[in-house]
Amino acid sequence: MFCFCRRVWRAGRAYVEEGLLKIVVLVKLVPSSEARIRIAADGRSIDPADVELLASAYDEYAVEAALQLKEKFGGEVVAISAGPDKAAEMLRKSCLALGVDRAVLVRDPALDRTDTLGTARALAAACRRETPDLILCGKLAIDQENAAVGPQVAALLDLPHVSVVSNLEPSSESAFVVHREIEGGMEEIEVSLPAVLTANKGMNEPRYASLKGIMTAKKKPLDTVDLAALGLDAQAVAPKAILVSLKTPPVRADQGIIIQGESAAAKVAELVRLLFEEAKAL
Amino acid sequence: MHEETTAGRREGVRGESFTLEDLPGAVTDPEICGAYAADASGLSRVPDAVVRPQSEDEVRELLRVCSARGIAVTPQGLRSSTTGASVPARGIVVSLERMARVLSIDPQRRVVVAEPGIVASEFKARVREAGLFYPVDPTSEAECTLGGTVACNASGSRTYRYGPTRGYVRALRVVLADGSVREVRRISSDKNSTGYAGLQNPVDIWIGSEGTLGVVTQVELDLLLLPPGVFGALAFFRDWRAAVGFVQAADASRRVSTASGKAGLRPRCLELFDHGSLDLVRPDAGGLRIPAAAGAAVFFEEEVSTEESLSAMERWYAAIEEAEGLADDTVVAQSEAEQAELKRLRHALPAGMNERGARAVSNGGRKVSTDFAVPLDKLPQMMEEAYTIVREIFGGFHVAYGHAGNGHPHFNLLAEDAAGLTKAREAARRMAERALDLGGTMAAEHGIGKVKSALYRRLYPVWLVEASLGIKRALDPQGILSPGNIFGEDEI
Ligand SMILES: Cc1cc2nc3c(=O)[nH]c(=O)nc-3n(C[C@H](O)[C@H](O)[C@H](O)COP(=O)(O)OP(=O)(O)OC[C@H]3O[C@@H](n4cnc5c(N)ncnc54)[C@H](O)[C@@H]3O)c2cc1C
Repeated sequence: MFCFCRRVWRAGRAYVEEGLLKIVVLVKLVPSSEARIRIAADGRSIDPADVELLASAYDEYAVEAALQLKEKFGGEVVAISAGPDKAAEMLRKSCLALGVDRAVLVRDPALDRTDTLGTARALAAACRRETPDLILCGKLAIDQENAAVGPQVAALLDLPHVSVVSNLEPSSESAFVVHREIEGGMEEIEVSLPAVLTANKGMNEPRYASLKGIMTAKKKPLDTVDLAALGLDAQAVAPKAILVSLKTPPVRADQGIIIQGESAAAKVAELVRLLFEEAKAL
Repeated sequence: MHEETTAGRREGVRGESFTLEDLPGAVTDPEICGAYAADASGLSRVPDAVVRPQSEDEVRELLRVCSARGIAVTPQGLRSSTTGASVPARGIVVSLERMARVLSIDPQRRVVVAEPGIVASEFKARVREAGLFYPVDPTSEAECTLGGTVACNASGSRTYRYGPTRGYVRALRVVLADGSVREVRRISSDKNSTGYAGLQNPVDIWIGSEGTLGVVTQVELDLLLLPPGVFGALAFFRDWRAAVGFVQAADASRRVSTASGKAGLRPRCLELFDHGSLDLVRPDAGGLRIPAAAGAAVFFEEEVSTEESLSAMERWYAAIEEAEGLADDTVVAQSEAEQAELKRLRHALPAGMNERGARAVSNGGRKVSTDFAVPLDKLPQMMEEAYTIVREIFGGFHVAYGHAGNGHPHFNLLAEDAAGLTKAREAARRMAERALDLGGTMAAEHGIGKVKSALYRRLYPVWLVEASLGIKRALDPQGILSPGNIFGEDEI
């Protein structure tokens, strides 16, 4: 079987050791896609009452991909999240309980109002401490859909990056071949490690936690660090893009038409007429 | 009973002539009527007309006219009945689908009043938005109506802890065959010794009456407080015997812990999947890994706050190990989406079997399912015998799944053709007989409808069937409501 041996492809790096693939997964806490979203009184955040908070769906593909790689080749998977205290629970339930070895929560009041670049700075600093071979995250977080943090982390760490990856497979001891779905086709890209890959839907089927996994998760290390511990300060994450206000889309009126007619044939004729003349669909 | 005379004119029971178009609100477009012909049993008959009233007054008017003319009326919710109960043996259909409002929710008294046509899952969502909980959860809740659940006394997986629909019904408004309306309120004194026990609380007569005693137009129900949290898990076992052993152990633990107040397993449901059922859902299981060694599974849920869930999970893990289950493979649904996904898989079982059954109808086959239940201590013996009966008498494709905690597995036999159907029915009859012998029932939640009426008449004492018919005649002397249901007077 194909085996990762850091000694071979990491020669020259300071921390060389007899080791295996080390993967960092970046995971964001977001409201469930089923949640009924209400805007909070400040007009620019989501009212947290009665909202189930979960790991963002695309990040779950990244976690699953990391776990599958670990199961195949051995190694270590570390989950990192920048977020509120509640993200700790998510890291246990959606990462450690599934088989992730360790988790780090970057928690700092300065991050509460930061922009994607500020978040990426914090995450990149946390990644740097781990010196991973591979960084995985979702292609976007399902709450704000910026699709920015993954590429920004790659740029800050000066690593190669491929976004919207639907499949990944090691191609040599220091590279992966990845697939991206593009309009009407499929790209195949070879990328050298260390690299940042962002996961698309369809990459895999994220697993459920097992009873055993949940029980062992409580004993796994989950460190909380602030910006200072990462060598950053509030200034480093001060937002340059500021969320001014948040609005829900206007409710559309019901625009259905019930077609009346003497017989089924007459109704079909009327439907065809409407499709041509009113909807201009044909 | 109605003979078509001249074009569109029919003869009522008293010989007078009428057209269906005279009925208030009647739709006779054959395509529309065709949509109200079949339920999940595989039986079907296109009604002569469909009426979709929007108010109780419209229902009353309709029944006044129908009783005057002797036109048979079968009420319908969403036709998810598995027994042909919503298929009109003759006459017309009254669909309650347009009476679908929640009329009031009183959070202090925890009481809800609703119209019958609301989809059960939507009703539950509305109750939940009000911060309350309605526990009855038929697997079909997204495809059946509240009125249908009352008319069938529906139950679900959580019936293990919370009982069936009956326990929540405070009052019903019912339009009787003659168009009169009656509000029947539960007598809720602690004690009652008025006459025969089975007839002490009139409201109970309507619950589970399968459309034969009136059209339910309003339902008043008790609600509960929302549980503090819940987790669900699917535990795997080598075979059904080990799984059923686990169900019995979990049930025993619940009894001890509820009685003593000590820590123990507190399941709210215990649902079995046998070998065939696992094979059926495997291709569709997605991220839910069903181990190759698994020959059965038990789905359980416990209501527990997040803080206490870990110790509850540890108790479950130990119990699964104790029952020689594949404890390490037990999967947990942690989020609402994962819980919904497990529910979807559970629902895919009956839905998938119903679909296969429907495909066999053109060959004279269909799905035959059992609805027997036995006391839990008799479940291993009952299942052992049931598998033997199915193998020896039927021999075709079959699965068993369902409410094991209530001693209530559904055996589903897929009859591919007419010959298979005869054998499947015979096997179902034997199983029902054995269930009665073991102190159980032949129909625990789906009712009798049309497909089980012969069995009911055969297995139930004649005097009890007669007594029930006496109630039917007292309330519907002409027999216009849901003819064929329970007593099987009409063949489709
Ligand atoms: C996939 C599947 C899973 C199922 N799982 C379960 C389960 O877990 N538990 C369970 O109990 N059942 C189950 N069922 C059976 C069925 O869904 C229930 O019996 C349900 O309560 C029927 O509701 P409905 O609205 O579809 O009623 P219908 O099928 O339309 O009617 C059923 C009976 O009720 C009568 N009726 C309906 N509405 C009224 C009314 N307003 N007034 C008077 N009579 C009325 C009809 O005349 C008929 O006799 C399942 C069915 C399917 C297809």
